[in-house]
Amino acid sequence: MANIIDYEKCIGCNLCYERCPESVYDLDDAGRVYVRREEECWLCGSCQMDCPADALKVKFDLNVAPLFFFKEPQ
Amino acid sequence: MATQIRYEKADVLVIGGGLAGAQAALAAREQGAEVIVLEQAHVTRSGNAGSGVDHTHGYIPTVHEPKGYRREDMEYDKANQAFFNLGFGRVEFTDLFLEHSYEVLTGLEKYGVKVRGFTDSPFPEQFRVVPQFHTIPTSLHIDGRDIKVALAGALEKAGVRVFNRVQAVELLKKGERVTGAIGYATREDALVVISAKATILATSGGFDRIAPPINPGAGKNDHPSATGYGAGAALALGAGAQLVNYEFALGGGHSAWQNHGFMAGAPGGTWYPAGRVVDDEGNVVVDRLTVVDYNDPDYWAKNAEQLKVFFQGRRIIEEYASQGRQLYLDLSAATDEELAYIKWALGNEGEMWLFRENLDAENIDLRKVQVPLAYRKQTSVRDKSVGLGLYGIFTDLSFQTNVKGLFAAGAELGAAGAIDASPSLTFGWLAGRAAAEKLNSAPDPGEPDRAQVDRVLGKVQQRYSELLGDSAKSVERQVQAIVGVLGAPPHSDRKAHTAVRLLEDLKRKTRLKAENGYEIGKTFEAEALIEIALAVFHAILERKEAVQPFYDRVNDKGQPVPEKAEKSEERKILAIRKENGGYAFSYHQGSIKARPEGYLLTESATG
Ligand SMILES: Cc1cc2nc3c(=O)[nH]c(=O)nc-3n(C[C@H](O)[C@H](O)[C@H](O)COP(=O)(O)OP(=O)(O)OC[C@H]3O[C@@H](n4cnc5c(N)ncnc54)[C@H](O)[C@@H]3O)c2cc1C
Ligand code: SF4
Ligand code: SF4
Repeated sequence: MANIIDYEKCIGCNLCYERCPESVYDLDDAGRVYVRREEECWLCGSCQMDCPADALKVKFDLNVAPLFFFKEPQ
Repeated sequence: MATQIRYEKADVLVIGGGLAGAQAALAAREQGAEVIVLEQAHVTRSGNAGSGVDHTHGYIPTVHEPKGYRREDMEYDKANQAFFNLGFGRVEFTDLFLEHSYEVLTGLEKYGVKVRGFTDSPFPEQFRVVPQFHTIPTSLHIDGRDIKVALAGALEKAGVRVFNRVQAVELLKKGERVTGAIGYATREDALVVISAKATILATSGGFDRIAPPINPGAGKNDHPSATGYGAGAALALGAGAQLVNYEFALGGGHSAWQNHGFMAGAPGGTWYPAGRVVDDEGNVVVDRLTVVDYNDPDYWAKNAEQLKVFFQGRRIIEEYASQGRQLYLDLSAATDEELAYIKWALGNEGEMWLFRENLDAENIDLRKVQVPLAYRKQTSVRDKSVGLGLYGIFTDLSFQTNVKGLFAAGAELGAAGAIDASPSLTFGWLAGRAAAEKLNSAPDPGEPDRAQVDRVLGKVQQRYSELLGDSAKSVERQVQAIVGVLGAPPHSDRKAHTAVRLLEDLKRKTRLKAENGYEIGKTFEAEALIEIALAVFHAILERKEAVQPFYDRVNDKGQPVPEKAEKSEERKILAIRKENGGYAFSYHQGSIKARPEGYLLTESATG
């Protein structure tokens, strides 16, 4: 899985940094958000749902066992 | 680092701004109290319900009464479901919940949460009543994705002072009374010392992180939020309050909600109305559930049929699981409309929103895939909400612990039934009110004990200065290893003694280190995990027998040690607390309420 910030779209509101319950995001020296602790993400989705600029995606590989895996129906 | 200290004062201090904490704060504020909420994350999206709940439940007079289903009937049915027949709970809490559930649920509407008024619904008040049978007799689908956003807005409007990113690390004590708490502000590197007449613990009580992660490689440890480290219980223990049912808090060694997201109550639940379960060849093993027409004169009988299908389904699934056969959630027969409904419900169910977004981003049609199911046993404490209802902090019916000035609410409570969203909301509200009502007779908290504050400050400074010490993560892993190996049933004196010795050793030898505020916060979490693990193993040692259906016990020769009580009535709830540097135990009588023959609904279905 990956937390991806599209800096082209990001408006620097810092909501993701403010709200993420796991402190996955942090601010760099210039005050810009970046993904610091991806491994702490519990996939709650809050950052993506609240990002006002549609700049943030939390992607997970839907085929990776054992979290999610699929089987085509017979 | 120069850690700052800030002093604050309130009438009521709430620790944890989740569903229960927010409600407690709002209720106390409504009584005129000055309220502070300490939230270690950010109230807008914190806690188990941070990204939403899709269903709730409760006694809804407009829906239930016309069908002849009385509150008393529901009290019995919920008692059955919450294992009150076992003697480890107090059914009075469920009764209290049902008395207030309608008012509390519909009360959410004033904060902007849509609970009823769904125009497609044929039910009274247009509730979306669904056959989601992990609550009996049915659940209510709500538009709950932003429930925390709504509560956070209400807190602000009401004038509750919310301190986000402040983690409570110790309760202040003056004599026999709790007089507030010391918090650590992880993003400011400051101690926040709050004196209060009443303190309410509402940190959710779960401590999933005590056990090894189920899905390590998958970036997701089972079901836990960051908060799953038993903060409230550790704080309570430190202040001399009682924890109950801790001897079986581990259930089967750890919780086993593999694939929880997909489970989501399948085949009903969030997958209603089209979810069904199929085997390897695609044969339908458990069929879909349907909502019964409310105007049908045989409403309950038909609903009961559905309930039967659901329970039979669980049994079939368990049977398959015990044979090691794989089953799949199957939505291939869903209509467009049904699929749209399912996706709406998924969008309100916590992390399932993100799952839905990822599916859509890859254009995956849920009808064209089958999802492997991993189930846990129904009767086990591993069921999160049931488990949380059984183990936790012991309070009286006004949510007051045995320590003056200290209350608890929400999933934090022990021996109080299954505590998911609606009971959390309800108990939070009632606890806030109860605490506020006692303010007049509560003494002024006075000045905090400087020595206690200095001790906590010393810990923080020590951890910053430690260069070669242990990271919080490494300590957490050691706790998990101990619990993983020695906490799995069958329990025995030998295993529990070994665990206690290893944990005491870990506590003594650990020199926690940290480089920033975030890591300081984690060191306090690691400490709490050790305390929780110790409490669990001490309770196991105290209860020198099997506790069915939760665990077996063997003696040093490997022979089974059965339970002494032959009937639930003979059982006692075990409470553990700290006293004079050691542990002390007491036993409480549970209250039993359940129909021996099972659910009223099932009965009427067979009768
Ligand atoms: C993904 C998911 C989906 C769910 N869906 C449903 C559903 O659809 N229906 C349903 O009925 N139930 C559902 N539940 C269960 C329900 O969300 C919980 O039962 C409920 O949130 C418990 O409320 P609470 O207030 O006791 O705890 P929480 O809401 O978890 O709040 C606890 C709060 O305490 C804070 N905290 C912890 N430690 C500290 C500390 N030391 N200092 C300060 N703050 C602290 C946390 O950050 C958190 O905000 C779901 C749970 C999950 C995880
Ligand atoms: S929430 Fe979105 S726009 Fe705001 S800082 Fe984060 S990524 Fe940027
Ligand atoms: S999904 Fe949740 S835990 Fe993960 S980064 Fe976003 S807000 Fe944080």
